Amino acid sequence: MVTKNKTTYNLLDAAHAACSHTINIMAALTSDGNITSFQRKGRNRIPYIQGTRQSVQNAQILVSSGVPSLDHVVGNGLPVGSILLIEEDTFGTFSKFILKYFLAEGVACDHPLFLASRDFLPSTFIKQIPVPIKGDSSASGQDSKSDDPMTIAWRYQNMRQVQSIPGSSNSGTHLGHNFDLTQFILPEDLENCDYTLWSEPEENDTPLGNFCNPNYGLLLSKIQKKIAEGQFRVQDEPIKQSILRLAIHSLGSPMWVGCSCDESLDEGVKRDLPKFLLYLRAILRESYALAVITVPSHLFRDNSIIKLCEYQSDMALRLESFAGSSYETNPVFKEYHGLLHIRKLGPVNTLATHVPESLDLAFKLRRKKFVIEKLHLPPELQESAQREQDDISTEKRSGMGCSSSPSSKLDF
Amino acid sequence: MAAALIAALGLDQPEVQSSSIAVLEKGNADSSFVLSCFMWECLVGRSARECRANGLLLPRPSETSTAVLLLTCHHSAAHYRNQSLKLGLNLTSLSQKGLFEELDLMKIISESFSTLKETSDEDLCRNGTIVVKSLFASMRTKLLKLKENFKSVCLIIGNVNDLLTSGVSNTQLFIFINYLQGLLSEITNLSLVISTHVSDDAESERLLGAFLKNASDFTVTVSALQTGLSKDVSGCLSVGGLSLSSGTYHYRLLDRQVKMFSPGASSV
Repeated sequence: MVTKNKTTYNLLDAAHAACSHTINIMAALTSDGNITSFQRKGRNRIPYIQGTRQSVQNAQILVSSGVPSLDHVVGNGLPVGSILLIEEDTFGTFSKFILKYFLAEGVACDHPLFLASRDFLPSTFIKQIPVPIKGDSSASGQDSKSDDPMTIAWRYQNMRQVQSIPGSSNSGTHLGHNFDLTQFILPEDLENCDYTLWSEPEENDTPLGNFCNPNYGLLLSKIQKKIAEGQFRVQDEPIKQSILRLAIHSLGSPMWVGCSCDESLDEGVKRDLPKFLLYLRAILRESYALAVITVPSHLFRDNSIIKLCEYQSDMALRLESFAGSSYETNPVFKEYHGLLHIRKLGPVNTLATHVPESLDLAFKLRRKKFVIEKLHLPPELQESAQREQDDISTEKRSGMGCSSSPSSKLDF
Repeated sequence: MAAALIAALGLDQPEVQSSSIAVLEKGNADSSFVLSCFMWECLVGRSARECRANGLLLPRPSETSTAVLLLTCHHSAAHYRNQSLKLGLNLTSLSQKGLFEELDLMKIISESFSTLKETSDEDLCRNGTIVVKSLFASMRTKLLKLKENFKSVCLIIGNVNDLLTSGVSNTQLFIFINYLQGLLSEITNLSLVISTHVSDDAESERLLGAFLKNASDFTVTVSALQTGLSKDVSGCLSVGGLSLSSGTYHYRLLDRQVKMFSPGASSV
């Protein structure tokens, strides 16, 4: 009976294949040049939005974080509707740079911005966002190849070129821009941008959610209002669809302490921070918006806080700066400014999660680029003590063998 | 497809079909694919096996099928729809046929913030906090309605610990789960699958995990690799229970498939 069923299935498969073959032939016959006459039924539901790309795996809309190498590490871009959590480095220097890049990419792509912080004045911070590098090859999708390429030995010509910068091999598909940190955005350009700043709650605001610290509820209320007013909800039909970029700096820092909260700082943060992320994720899932949030994880004494935050976010990264640590003077790390640890890359509307090429990642900040690279040891170009010892031992051995003196041009 | 996971864990046995199963996810592992595989087993796998046993070629949704009610707390319902589609299961078409129903808590929370109407007793969410009493009543009504039309029903709850985060107390959640366990005796041919995230550092989550493990007939544990990420292995999966032989497996998530293998046999 089983054999009979299998045979019938095979016959059905063959009939299906023949049918599809017939359809292909029909398509070829009625085609006009390279365009087939078959068209997809219904209109494309995902509108084209500037500065976005559709994922080939799950049709998710992706946007750039502003750092092309970071985009590659997290899966060719940040999915719209998701939260990227960044655990700050000790002094918070590099996490601020990532926020600046995220906002700068939004300005370059004409995306509305929302910046919230209680640690600094957002009005000052937003004036310091960098501008794109003019003639940036990565944005235009052209490789910057020199006219006179370096010739290499023929035996290595067909070998795969080693790329220490993730994603640099397929620069033609880059989504983001590179930015010059030395040049700030012009005031007139900033005036043309659609941005919202939040540092202090307004008087008329009513907090959302039952937070112990009302500041979280007030920020959530402001975000909710911005999404509703800007027509970023999925059900809205604006004239021109865009993506709202939310940047929240140092969420849960001591500056977020609530005046009406009787609990200790850690207890209040443990209760409110994961709840805030849950509610924010619920709002973002139903809207054309995404968030990059930095948290000062090194300030939390309770280890469970950051674990709960990582669980509530879609992607989580940790920055470990070498500043002030023993690694700063270590010759092994002299090319880098810190390490990047991937804590979580969760699935968003897909089955398989993105697996990065390497987990050993380091970052360095150049004048015009923030680069994330695979961590590798520097080449040993100088004479070291080990090398000298090797030479001595070679000399000793050469006395016994057929080799002549070291000054001789011939070794034997 | 999902059959490999179901067969490897022995969850296609008849005794599993009307029991309660706890799915525990540890660390930063994600167990949503296990729930999608369970949905595939309920909506496609079981009926296909029964049809094959009766000598029929194509399984058809009928009164002998299993209906599914999904409550999503951590991921959106769209996530499960997309994930199931990768496994060859179109939940949208099945919901049109009445075989599948869903309750998306993310959407409920989002709507509770956006609408400014006065909250009533029947509302599932009040200013972000889920009202577990209303939630249970709503789920029970849906289950009874599904049971009227289909032979068996499966209730799947994804990441129930998110109710704790939203402000529900441990005691309320334990009572809620206890009431759900009580439905097993009230509704015949009901199976219950509840997943939760367990973190050893968070006391309330650890308690919830222990409670679920104790209250369920079978436990499936999903955890990440201890040594980090790998391209060949996505994580570790273990199963244990009263009548199932306990075992540990490695799994790999591909674009449209879940591969299962014994530890160390990923490259074989």
